[in-house]
Amino acid sequence: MLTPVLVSLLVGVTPAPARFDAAGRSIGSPLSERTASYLIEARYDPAKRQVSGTARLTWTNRSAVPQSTLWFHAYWNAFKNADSTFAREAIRGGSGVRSGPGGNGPEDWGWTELRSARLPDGTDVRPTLRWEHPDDDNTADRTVFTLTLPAPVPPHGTVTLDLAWEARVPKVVARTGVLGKYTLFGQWFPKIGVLEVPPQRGVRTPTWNCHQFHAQSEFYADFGSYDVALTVPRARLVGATGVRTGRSENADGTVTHRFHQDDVIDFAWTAWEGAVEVTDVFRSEGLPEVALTAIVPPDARKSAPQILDAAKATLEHAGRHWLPYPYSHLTLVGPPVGANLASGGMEYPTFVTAYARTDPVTPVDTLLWEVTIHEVAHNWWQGMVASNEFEEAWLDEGVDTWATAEVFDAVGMRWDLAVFVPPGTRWLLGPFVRTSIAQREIRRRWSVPRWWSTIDRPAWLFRTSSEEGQSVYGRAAGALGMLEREVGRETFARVMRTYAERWAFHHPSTDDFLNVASEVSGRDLRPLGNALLRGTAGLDDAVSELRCLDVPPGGGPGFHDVDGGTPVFRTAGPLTEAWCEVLVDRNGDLRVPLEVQLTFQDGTRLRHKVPDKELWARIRTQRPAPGGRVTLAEVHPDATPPVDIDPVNDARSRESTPAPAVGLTGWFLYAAQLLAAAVGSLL
Amino acid sequence: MRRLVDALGVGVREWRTVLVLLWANWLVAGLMVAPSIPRLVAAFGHAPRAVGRPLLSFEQLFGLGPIFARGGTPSVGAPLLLLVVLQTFLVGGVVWRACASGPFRLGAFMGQSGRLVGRNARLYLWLLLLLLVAALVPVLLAIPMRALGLQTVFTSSTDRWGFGRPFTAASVLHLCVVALAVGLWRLSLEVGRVLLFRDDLQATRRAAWRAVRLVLRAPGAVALYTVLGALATLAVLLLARVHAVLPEGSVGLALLALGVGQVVVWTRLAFQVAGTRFAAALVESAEAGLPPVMHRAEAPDAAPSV
Repeated sequence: MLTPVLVSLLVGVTPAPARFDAAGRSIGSPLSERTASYLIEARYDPAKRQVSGTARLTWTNRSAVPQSTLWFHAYWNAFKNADSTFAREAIRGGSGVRSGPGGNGPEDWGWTELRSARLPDGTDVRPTLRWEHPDDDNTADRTVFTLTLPAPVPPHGTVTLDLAWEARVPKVVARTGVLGKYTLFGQWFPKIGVLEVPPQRGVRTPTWNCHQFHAQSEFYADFGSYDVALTVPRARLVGATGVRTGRSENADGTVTHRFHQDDVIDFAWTAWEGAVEVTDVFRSEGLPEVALTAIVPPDARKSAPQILDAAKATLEHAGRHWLPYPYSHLTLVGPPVGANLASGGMEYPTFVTAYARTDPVTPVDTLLWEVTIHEVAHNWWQGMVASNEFEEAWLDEGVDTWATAEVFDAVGMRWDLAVFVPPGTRWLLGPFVRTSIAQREIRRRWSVPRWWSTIDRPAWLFRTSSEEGQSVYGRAAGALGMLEREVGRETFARVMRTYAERWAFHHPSTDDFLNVASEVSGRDLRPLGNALLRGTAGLDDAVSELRCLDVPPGGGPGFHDVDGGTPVFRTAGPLTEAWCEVLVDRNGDLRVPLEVQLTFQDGTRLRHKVPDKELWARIRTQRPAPGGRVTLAEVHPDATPPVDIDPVNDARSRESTPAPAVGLTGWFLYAAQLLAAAVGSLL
Repeated sequence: MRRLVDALGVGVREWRTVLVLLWANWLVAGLMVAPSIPRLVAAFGHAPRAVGRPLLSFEQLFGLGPIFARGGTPSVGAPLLLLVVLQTFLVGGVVWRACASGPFRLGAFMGQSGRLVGRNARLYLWLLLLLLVAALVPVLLAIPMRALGLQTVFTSSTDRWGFGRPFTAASVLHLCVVALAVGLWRLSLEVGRVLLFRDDLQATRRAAWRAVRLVLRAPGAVALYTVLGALATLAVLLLARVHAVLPEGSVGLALLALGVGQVVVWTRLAFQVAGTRFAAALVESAEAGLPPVMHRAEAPDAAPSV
């Protein structure tokens, strides 16, 4: 086998030293506190769709207060029946995107059941199990439980619990489940909550953060080491978080796969009969080498190279701009047709699900690239910089949306909506939707003058599911763009790198982010950050009017107070002066410094600042004609704010610009004609 | 095939008829768009940042929400209602042109339209029943297909549309059945209109029934008529594709695009006339007991004088 050194000599790339060895164990001091570590043995029976497992949990009480009650997630009980909080919210919100094909009925439901929880002395604390519902009054929800120990875990002490559980795998839903011979295991074992310790995320006393599974929320967990043995039928291909450390055949026709990874917050895996595995290696000068594995359905094998290329582009950009990817392996799963929307596009540490298409667009399928980049980048923004996805979803999704746009720009990629045209019709229908849209522009369109909810709030407390999605993704990315515009691109790049370096393997909050941004930029960004993230205002500054009149010197006909004495009536004189008036409006509630630039016919420019307290301003000029006529008025002349709802109305010219209006009217007319012709063909 | 070629030839030669249909199309489309024009002019008439951007840019096409927030959205319902009235009126004239061989006269066209409008409307309502029956065929076919695990384009999941292959042998076959069902209904409608005109029938229910029987006895004609419809769709899509790839950015280019758009709509309307001619030929051949190939010049001008 070629050693990394020999490889580097052959290909001329000098990788950075690895942070983990070939067995997934950290080299040198641990990268995280390893608060919750698991030693898991699980067996999967696909025929019964059942998992049975044992987990030795080693948990450290990071607080200075003894803890006798431990909080746990039992995520799969969200799919147990229609009474779970997840199901109720999903039904109420009509969010079917992740509900899987055909919707899920009782035969598709899944559950998890804790069988025992023994202390090292053999005491079973399972009888102390108590179901909790900290987020609502739904007593039927079974996604959070507590166990009470006979003796508390002392401050900074450790407890070991041997958990035994059984679970039924749901039909593919909400980032987990089974479809045919494909099974994805996410949030699949009894998982301890996070005991937040002051000053972590602003808590004042040690507090358990362990939320129910909501239709619009993701997850939150402590770092730890995972050593997992997975026993599955021999025909099943297995991919998982971490590094494969062993594979042993069993007499009953099953195979046990062993994986290990230190310093991660979760462990997910897939067991998939008939899947295809494609491997590659990421090598780049000065960055750690990363082994890559793509697992895709055989009929979508053509997707694998693009998935791997997108992953490499992300590792390259992120390694240079945020943090080098420290883990030695990354697994990317492209689900089979029927499971992409329900289980694709999900982030787990060193293991992500992307999409796989039977006939990807070549040479670049933007849909595959976008989801892969986004999910791989999550390994930084939530995987390592482990924010609370329940309570501050913007810190992972918003930051990651910003990050996805950064990688898109770095590889020079833009959206072509033709990728959504089904194969077989692309040659004919592709040109109808051919576009070239920057990734960061995609999200801007959902700006509004005033939002219902703030960005920084628990994911399940938004007014609608669509508002939650718009807010924590695009709106939050726009907010970051506003901060970037405020401090400049280079400074903001330093902000993000510092934020990643400082908060990797910890749990930052919104305040932590704003503090880093203020510290690095040398400016107090908290007021603007709070307005954007904790306010509901939108921004749409506009030039509403621009008009000019040629007038006599001193004004038109009328009474004029020429010398401060009695006004005298004066008729019109020669029209030698240009009198211009510009009306500027703040159509949104967000007040950011507003500068107006007037460009005169003689090429001179004038800048005018609108006071922050004003919602509108009328600017008048009078200069010798014709050079003094204003030809162009612009707000935000240096850079359009990323959250501006309508950048087109940021400028207004005195001369007419007929092309856009004529073009759009013509397009409207053509579309109306086609509609009328189509309806006419039915008459 | 000769009947198809003959029908297409009529679609091309009857340009004055197509022009009348295009006028109606313009009227309806204009009414739809009219409320939006002031808004578009106000928003973009002095907007230098909109210049040079493609129409499909987010700032323009997808960014119209705020512009129409205070009104001015295109009107659709009332103009489409007008379209129903206009189309029901004008089909009488179209049938006249498809059956008669004399020169086009606008007065005569309108006269025939007016003479037949009531009966054509009643005929349409009767044949809506056939549409319901025809729609049931693909729906009922989809049930066993689904049970057998075969996809149709209507039952394919979003996931299959986005990531797999929605067009399989089974789904294309099902699509063909849908097209044939629509073709059967539409040809029956056209034949019924021709019967009303040629035989000056007053009882529209009887005309509808005769039309259905005639069409059911000519499955080959249904297939050919469906092919004609498919050709129309393909021609429109290909021409619309030309429209879609035109450059943008100036008034001249916008007018060029509008001009190409008229070719697209013209083509669709010409196929409409061709379809009516196809139905007329079917009726003529059936009534004359001739092989189903008929040249318009040989056909008697059965139109009552107007």
